[in-house]
Amino acid sequence: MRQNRQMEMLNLVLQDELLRKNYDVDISDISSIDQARLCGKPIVEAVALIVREINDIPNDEKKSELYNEIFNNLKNNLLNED
Amino acid sequence: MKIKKISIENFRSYYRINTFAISDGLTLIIGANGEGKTNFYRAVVWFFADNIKMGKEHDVSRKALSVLPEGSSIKVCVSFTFDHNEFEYYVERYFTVSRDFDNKLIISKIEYKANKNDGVQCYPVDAIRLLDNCFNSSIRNYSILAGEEDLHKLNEPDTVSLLIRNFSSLKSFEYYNKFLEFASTQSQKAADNVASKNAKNKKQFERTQARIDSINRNIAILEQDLKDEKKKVTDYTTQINNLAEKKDAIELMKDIREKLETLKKKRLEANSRIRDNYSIKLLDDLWILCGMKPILEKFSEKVGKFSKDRRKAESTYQREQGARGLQKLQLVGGKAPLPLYTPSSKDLKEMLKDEICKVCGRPAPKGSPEWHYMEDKLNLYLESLNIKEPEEFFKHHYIQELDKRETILNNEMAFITGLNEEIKNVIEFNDARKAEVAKYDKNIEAEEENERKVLAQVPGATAQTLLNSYTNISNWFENRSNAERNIIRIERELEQLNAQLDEQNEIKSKIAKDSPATMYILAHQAISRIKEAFKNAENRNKRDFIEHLNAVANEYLAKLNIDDFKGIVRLSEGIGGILSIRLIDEKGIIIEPNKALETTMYMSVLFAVSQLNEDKLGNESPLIFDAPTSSFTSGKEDDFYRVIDKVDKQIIIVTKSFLKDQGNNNYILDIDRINKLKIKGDIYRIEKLKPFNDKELSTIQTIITKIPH
Repeated sequence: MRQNRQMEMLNLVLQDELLRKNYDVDISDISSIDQARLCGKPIVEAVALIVREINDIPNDEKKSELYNEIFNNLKNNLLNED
Repeated sequence: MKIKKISIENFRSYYRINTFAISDGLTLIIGANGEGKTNFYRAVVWFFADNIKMGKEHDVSRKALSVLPEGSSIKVCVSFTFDHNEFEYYVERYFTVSRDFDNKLIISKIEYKANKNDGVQCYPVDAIRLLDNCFNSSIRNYSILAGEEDLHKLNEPDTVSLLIRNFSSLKSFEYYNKFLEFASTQSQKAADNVASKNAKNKKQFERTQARIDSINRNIAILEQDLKDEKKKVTDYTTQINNLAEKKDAIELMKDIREKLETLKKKRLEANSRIRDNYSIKLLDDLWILCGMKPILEKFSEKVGKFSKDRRKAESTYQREQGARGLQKLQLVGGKAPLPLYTPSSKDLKEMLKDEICKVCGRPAPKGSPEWHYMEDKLNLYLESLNIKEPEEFFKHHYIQELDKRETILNNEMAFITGLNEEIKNVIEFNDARKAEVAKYDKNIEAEEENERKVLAQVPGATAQTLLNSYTNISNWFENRSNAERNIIRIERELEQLNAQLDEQNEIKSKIAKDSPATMYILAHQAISRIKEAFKNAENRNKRDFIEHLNAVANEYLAKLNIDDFKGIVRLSEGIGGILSIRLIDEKGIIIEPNKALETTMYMSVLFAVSQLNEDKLGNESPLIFDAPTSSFTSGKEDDFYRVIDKVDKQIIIVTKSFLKDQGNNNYILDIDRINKLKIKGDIYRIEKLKPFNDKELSTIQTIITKIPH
């Protein structure tokens, strides 16, 4: 149930026009959040990570950890997107 | 939750155990005012009110208390038997009341007890958790409703968020938005930090950054203004909605006040015309003389006699004296003559000329004895004026004075006779005005009672606050419109500022291109775009949810208003999270529904909410309404119940419809009408057990009867 909701959220966010215009966010061959997390597309991976991790109130440490992971992944991989 | 039975024991007017078997579809509970309908509704609400911890005396059946001996106790209990997720459950909520040997009542705290029956055995479960799972407080808020006014719960602020939180699979974006706000700020700082350290184009970078900071400050101010204006819209909407709920009360109050003003004015006018200061009239208007007529007549009689005797005596004296030429007091036929001056000389001259005696009406032709008599009388009178009076027989003229007074008073006789009539008229007039004033007083009292009844429907309000609301409403509409216009203006300005911000950020990115800052900038841009994507997703989710609710509501509306004009329900989110519910026609024109159509419109939305609960959370939940059709005509009601009976939902309706008034608050069921309904569900009649003493609560007991149909 939770996976379904997470996929629903992922799909909903990635339908965004601006994201689609600027990044590769096609997930037609992805069926789970964990798959999305490792699909090799930085934006999809970032959104999947956020959807998977933000269910409870993140404490500050967890919040910072999550941010660092997302930021570093984007920083290291977005140049290739462009 | 699919209810199978509700039992009420010793709760308010329900003495001992009273059980309602509840149909899968519609269950009707019919009772006139004061027979236990509201107590049934209260029992249901009390059953779920887990925030109330202690039993209260006013919830206990007075009849049960009246027969409770010392040293004994009773149970006050409401219980539900229901199915949930293929199991049967029994839950009771109860407290005990004991009477000690000092006749004092001891009331316990409230407890729950719950059992699960899995078909093999019964075992206890946690009642509160069970009820929360199968019929939680959010859905209950939209499922247990008292009267048509309660339907307006859907218009309360934050309804949309509440509905989404409870019935959308994607409940809350709050934590995502918070995290992304944090991430966006952090990534911005990181990018700026690296970019500012890059010596090349440092000045240009700093200038761009300064412009960005200025734009951000303006954005922050505008966002605060936007928030304030949105709050104004919410507040005015709430006030207007509150007013809408009180609309009937306000109109009634206005009407009552106008009537009172008119009545009081008329009363004042009628009262001011009353002149009942009779003690003054007694002397000033000579009312004291009204009883004088018989006295006056007596006086006249006596004076007449005295005068006659006097004249007779004087005439005899003068005859004896042999007074020459003064035969003025000739006896007439041996009787005392009239005084010389009666009739007057003028009258005598007239009678002689006209040759008729105008005292007796007999003709007196010239030369006749009658004519000569009159001539002699005139001559005697004229002589008396010229000749020296001989010594008079009577030294004093008291009787002549009395005579004169009597003559004057007789002339006033008409006035005195008229006095009685005048007094009668004045008293009648005053009495009529007093009766008028009494009538106005009665009407004023009735209107003041109506005013009290209206205020009783609107707790906390006074007549003045209701009337002020009426006068304030146009201000509220205007202020709300102004706030809405300001919102549009601010949003436009924000759009422009955000466009400028994007432009400056683009410039900043270009400045940092081909430098170590590039990657940081790209990462920050990506995070910002993801942040926006989540915000947009939230709005889309909300729109989709409302659209879905809208579609389901319209399906129900079509069912509820079959063969009748229904319009189309249009749901949207208003400012402040209010769920705006409107009725439009095919062309999109807003319709102002009558009360009955408004009720079915709201009910269709509530059915849709209940449907969502079932679809999304897998929970069936009943709908319990107290008097939802009080504004319907009887024909419309019958249609409504027939349709409700076919809707695939468990609905319990408590109503005073389907009763015939026999007079003297005596109601009987309209069996014909009920039979014509042909509904499948169960029907109960609740009424007070007779006889009862309407001044003694302990004689009041609601009894329930299942009606075969």
